Amino acid sequence: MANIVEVLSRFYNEYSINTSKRLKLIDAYLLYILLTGVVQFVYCCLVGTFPFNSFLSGFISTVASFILGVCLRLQVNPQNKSEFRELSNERAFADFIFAHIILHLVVINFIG
Amino acid sequence: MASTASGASRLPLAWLRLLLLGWLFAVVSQTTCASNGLQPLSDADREAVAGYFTADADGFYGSLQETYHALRALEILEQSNVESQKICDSLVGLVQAPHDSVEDAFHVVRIAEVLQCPHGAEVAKVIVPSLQAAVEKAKSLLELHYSVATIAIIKGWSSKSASFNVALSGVFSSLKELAGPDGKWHYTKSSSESSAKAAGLYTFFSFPTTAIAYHFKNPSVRGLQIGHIKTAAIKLFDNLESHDQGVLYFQESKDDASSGGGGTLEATWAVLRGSAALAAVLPAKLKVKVEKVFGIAKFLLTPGLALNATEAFYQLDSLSVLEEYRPAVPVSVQTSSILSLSSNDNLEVAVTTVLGKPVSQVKVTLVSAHCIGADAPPVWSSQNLNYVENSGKYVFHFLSATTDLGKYKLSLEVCSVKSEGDSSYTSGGPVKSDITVISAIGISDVQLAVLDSNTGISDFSAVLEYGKDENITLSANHLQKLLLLLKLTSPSGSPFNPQQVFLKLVHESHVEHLYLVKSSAKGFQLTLDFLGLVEKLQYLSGTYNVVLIVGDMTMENSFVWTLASLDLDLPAAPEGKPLPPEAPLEITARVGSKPEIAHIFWQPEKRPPTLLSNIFLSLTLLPLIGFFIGLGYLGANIKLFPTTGLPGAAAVGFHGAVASILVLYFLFWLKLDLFTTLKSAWILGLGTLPPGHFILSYLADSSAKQKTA
Repeated sequence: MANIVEVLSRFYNEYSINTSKRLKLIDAYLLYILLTGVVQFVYCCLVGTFPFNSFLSGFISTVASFILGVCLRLQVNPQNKSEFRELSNERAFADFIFAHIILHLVVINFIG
Repeated sequence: MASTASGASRLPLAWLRLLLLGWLFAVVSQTTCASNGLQPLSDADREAVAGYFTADADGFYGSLQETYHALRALEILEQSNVESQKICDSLVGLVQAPHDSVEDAFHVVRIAEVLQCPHGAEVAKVIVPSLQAAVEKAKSLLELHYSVATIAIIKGWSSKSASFNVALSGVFSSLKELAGPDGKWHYTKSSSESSAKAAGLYTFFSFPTTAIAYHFKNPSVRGLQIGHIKTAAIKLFDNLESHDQGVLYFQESKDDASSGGGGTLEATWAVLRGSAALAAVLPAKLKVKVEKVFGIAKFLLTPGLALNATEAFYQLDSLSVLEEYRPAVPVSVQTSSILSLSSNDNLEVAVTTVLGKPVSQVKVTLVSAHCIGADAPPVWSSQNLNYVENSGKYVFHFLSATTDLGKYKLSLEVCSVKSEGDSSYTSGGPVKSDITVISAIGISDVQLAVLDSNTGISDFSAVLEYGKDENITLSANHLQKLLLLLKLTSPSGSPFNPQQVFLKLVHESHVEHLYLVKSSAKGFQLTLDFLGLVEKLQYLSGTYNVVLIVGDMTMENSFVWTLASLDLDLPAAPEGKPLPPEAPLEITARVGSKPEIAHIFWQPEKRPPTLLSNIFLSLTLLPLIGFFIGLGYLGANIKLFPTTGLPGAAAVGFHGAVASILVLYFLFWLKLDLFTTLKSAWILGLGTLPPGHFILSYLADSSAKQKTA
């Protein structure tokens, strides 16, 4: 138990020091999306899937938003600069916005 | 083998029902009398029309005009339940009351005339002074009509009638100005349209005017007017409108609304009344073509013509005029349609007026009688019918020993026997009618036998007598045949070939099979070979009723006769064959109510409690709140948000465009459809691109400059 606490503490310190503010913002966004998805899933487990399309719409919205957020984080992380040499942060953000527009059109169409 | 040499056929039951229905319809339609197209007023029509007139507590039927209409109509219908005394007693008081027009006096006088009130002199005494003034100042046709018609009725009641002659001489010059060239008349000098109804009204009172002129022996008036009136009346009948099947009537004109409207019925009534009044006073007959009179009679006897009390009056009064119409009296000619040889019926022809009264002053001749379907000379020609006083009909002994069964086409002629100058009767031309001669048919030599299919030897045979209930039982199997023989003879002894001869096998489960029995030289014969019919009988063994059905429209004794009970043993159906048909449903089961269907509706899904849903809604929003708190904790800010110049505008534009897309999605969720949303999203997307590209490029350049710096 003490080891786990020490690991977590070290992880937190490393994370705070080595992670840029921009990435922390994105991580906060990802955590929000994750928690929203979890709440929806728990609700579905409690009360059932009816209406199923609405549940799927909401859950897929959180999953897809999480994925797009992770993609954005990967693209703007300075440590991955070599992987995305020709992709600027602004371009990544623009892709992120465009993908969200398409995603939410589908989500709203499916939510019922 | 399927059937006999003559070809027995199993007819569907529905065809038999259709044929029997058709035969029944033919018989029923024959029981209604054949006629010359003119049906007199029936009892049902009289009852319907009488129902329009309902008296008030004071004995009147509404206004004075309505009361006169009702009294006259009930007089024609010969109904005496009218409170004559009460009405007559009220009349004197009515004429004493002040009136603006002479119209009320006209109606009062007419009521008094119909009821034959004893107060005539009293009424005349009150009216005469005002009438004279009304005649002198009358200018329009209606005013003249009311005034002069009233004078005509009361002339016998008042001692002052001689003074009217002076006033009437001025009437004729006023009338001339209202005449039209086509026989129609104008209501006033200034009206542009002429009217047949106006002409009728004119001639309606021309009679009393003329009669008064005759009475007072005013030669100048008499000679001047008679020819003029007569010419106009004859020309008037050229204005008849025609309809289907020879119906003729007078059409109303626009100006007739000023005289109370009334439509074609009132216009026709006015002309009939006027022409009848004129014809009554003329020395010679008014020459109107009989076809026109007949056509008008057809119009007046149209079923359902009168829809209210006023129309009922016009219809009945017109019909009463036609009963004694001087040009020609239309008569209805109806012949009996069925003559029975068994009861030796006579041919009866009823000649009646349009109101149904028998006419005895005509000669009815049977011009010819041909048997339909036979190229033979007529069975009768040029035979006079005799009038029977008791029945009011013309009778002829049509049937003889040689008269055959079947349909006959008759041609009758109806001529008036009265001398020239009196009313002549018209039937509208030669009368064609069809009659059917029927009789009881003899049924003999009815034989039912069961034969062996191979040898033809009779295993069982029975001779049946029609009319006897013999309870015969037969038995047969699929290796045998059923033979039916019978003879049908007409009263003359010759073989009779009816329209329908069927043999029906009815199983105990009510399944029926029908076979046509065909005729031959020896009579009627049917052979049913069960070996060939096993499949058609659906392998259904058991007890069958053998039923003989014979019918024809000339048969008095068409019948359905259960000949015998047949125990039929058929082989069992092979495997895989369909089951025997179910018994045909009774008619009540087919058209009656079906069993109620209990619908099972989709049960709605169970929904969670609202409280739970709201709790989880709050829980879903919590991470969002936590995200904003986290943003604050991390020190997120918008200090670098451009606020000036083009970058500022582009930043605002970009964020605004994205926000508008989100609003569009919200509206899409609420009420828009996908296609509308896509169209709008496309436009908003195009609007997002330029500011978005600009601001992001600006930010990229700014960060690149900072790095190099």
